[in-house]
Amino acid sequence: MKTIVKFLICFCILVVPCELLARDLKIGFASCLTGPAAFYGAYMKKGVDLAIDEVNAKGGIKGNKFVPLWEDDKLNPTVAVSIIKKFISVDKVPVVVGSMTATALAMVPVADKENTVFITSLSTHPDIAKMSKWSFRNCINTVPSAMAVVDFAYKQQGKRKLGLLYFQNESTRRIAEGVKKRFEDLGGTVVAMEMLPEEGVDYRSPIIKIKNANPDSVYVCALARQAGLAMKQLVESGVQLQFYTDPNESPIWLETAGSAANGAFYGYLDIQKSYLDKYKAKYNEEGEIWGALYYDTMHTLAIAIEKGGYTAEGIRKALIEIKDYPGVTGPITYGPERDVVKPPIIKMVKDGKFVKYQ
Amino acid sequence: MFLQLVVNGVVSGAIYALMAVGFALIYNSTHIFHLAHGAVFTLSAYTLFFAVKTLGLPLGLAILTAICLSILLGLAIEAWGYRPLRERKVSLATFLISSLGIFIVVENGLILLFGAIPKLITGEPLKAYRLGPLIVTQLHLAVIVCCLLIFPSLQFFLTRTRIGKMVRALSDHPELATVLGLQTDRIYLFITILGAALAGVAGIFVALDTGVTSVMGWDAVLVAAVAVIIGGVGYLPGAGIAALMVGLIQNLSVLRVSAQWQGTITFGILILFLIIRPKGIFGKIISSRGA
Repeated sequence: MKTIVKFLICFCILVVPCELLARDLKIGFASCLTGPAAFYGAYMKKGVDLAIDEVNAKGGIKGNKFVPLWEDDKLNPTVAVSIIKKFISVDKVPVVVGSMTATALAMVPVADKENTVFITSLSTHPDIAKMSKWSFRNCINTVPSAMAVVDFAYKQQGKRKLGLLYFQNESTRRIAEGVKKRFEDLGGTVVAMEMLPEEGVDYRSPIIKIKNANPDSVYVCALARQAGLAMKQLVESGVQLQFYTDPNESPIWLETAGSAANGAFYGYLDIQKSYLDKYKAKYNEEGEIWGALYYDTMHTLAIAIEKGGYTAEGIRKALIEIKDYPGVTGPITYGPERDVVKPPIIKMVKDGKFVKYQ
Repeated sequence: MFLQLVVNGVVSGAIYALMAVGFALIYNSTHIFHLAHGAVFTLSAYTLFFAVKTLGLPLGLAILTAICLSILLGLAIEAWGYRPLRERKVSLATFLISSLGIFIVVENGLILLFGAIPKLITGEPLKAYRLGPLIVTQLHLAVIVCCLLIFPSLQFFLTRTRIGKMVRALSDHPELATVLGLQTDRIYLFITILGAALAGVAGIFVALDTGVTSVMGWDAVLVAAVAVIIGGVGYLPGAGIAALMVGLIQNLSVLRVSAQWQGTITFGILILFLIIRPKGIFGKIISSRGA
């Protein structure tokens, strides 16, 4: 009996504090790992993993290490809702990291109801961060980015007749509407506006209608792979015009379009070379924007957990207080709007490489 | 623009026809709703990618490899997926579920092996030729030429050769074919080889044109199934002609509606036929045979 009591006391003294000391910092990640945007899911994972490895290698946050829980939402809102509910009720995470607009829009109301932080770096919907006090976003502002490109096309390149191809997706459709309005407000004409179907990869029919309208340039509002396919098929259909597109600086764009992408302009963010070198060293491929954004997001989450503790309310308050964090995609301030603002730059594809427009 | 849309429609339709005729071959004789046909299509595409990009094989050899592997998968599905069920005389619904299960396993197996990110074989715009106002790529010409060789050969094979006639006999009346002493198991194997080869060829063309994704098989097999039903179950050329029609309608429809409706239009045509003419376009020919 005495032995058992001694053993129990020793157990309590030694084991329990260790359990309290080393906590797993579980974070839920709902990403489009398969489906039409699987490449974005892959980029997201690479950026997140790079950041988590760095934080954990330095000993984690006060001795506690990040444990990422990944789930595949297949870019399906119904699946995404099940995933976030599972993260909250089963895994009891204080923060869920989401991906694109389609699924983010479905997950934010759940996060709001369950008082859990939701953060994304792939959703470009203007209202994502406004929907709930628990919703945060650190992303490129694709609509202002597209506006910058449209201004560039009209004012500096003298384009007046725009052909607009847009992918059937929540965010790209909205960008396309913004592009049309801006170009027409400036005084130009959108001579044709055709949708690329979400299913299938044969875009030749809408491309023929664009070609028939005789534009002097074409703006492609689409995800990276779809934009690449569209440009390739545009060139194959005999459309040799100036192309503009969304921030699609990803390897999959060039792999799909090949030389068809040469000379295309797009809005983007400046990514620090140090990040690109680290990415290349770990993954043996060129880094890109979405991984970089998630990399920054994870580092800001680490700061928030350190300052506010591993609780939803603590993380929420601490994220809002982050000011001018030196991210690899630019300075990050969430502010009371919970939405990071990043001014875009114009870049182009030159001989198969992404370069800043000078 | 109209002529270009017609050309594009013919090319799309030709690829659909390859899938549809392969599907019809198997469906007409076995009455199995062979969803796994899409898995054969996808495997062919991935094999081509692997052979060209990873193994560095010349294109001709890679194409041959892809077709061979498609046939092997088709045979495996028939031998281990369908034959045991046939021996147990299960219902057609069981065959359907089995086929769907095989499709899902193969699709996800390919994701495990290759990852979910789409793969490219030709990362460059294809060479295109100007024929008057029309623009046709090298690949599209290849599709048309191949189909002009394949379909007449298939028709000759089915009408003029002994095995071809046995295939048709089995399609028309499986019970009578068995009574007459035809070795049905061997004929099923033969049908499987033909069907899988056609799916393999279709997969190769799509892979070369727009790349390889794990989900490509589903769209392909659905369009094939729609074409078989619209063409009239039991009449092989009907499936091919209906597939060509679907390709043309899909492409020409952009003259009136946005491209996002192409999928809806395909199934809309199917529903229309099921309501107005469920036997399909060539339903009369099938009924006149008394089959």
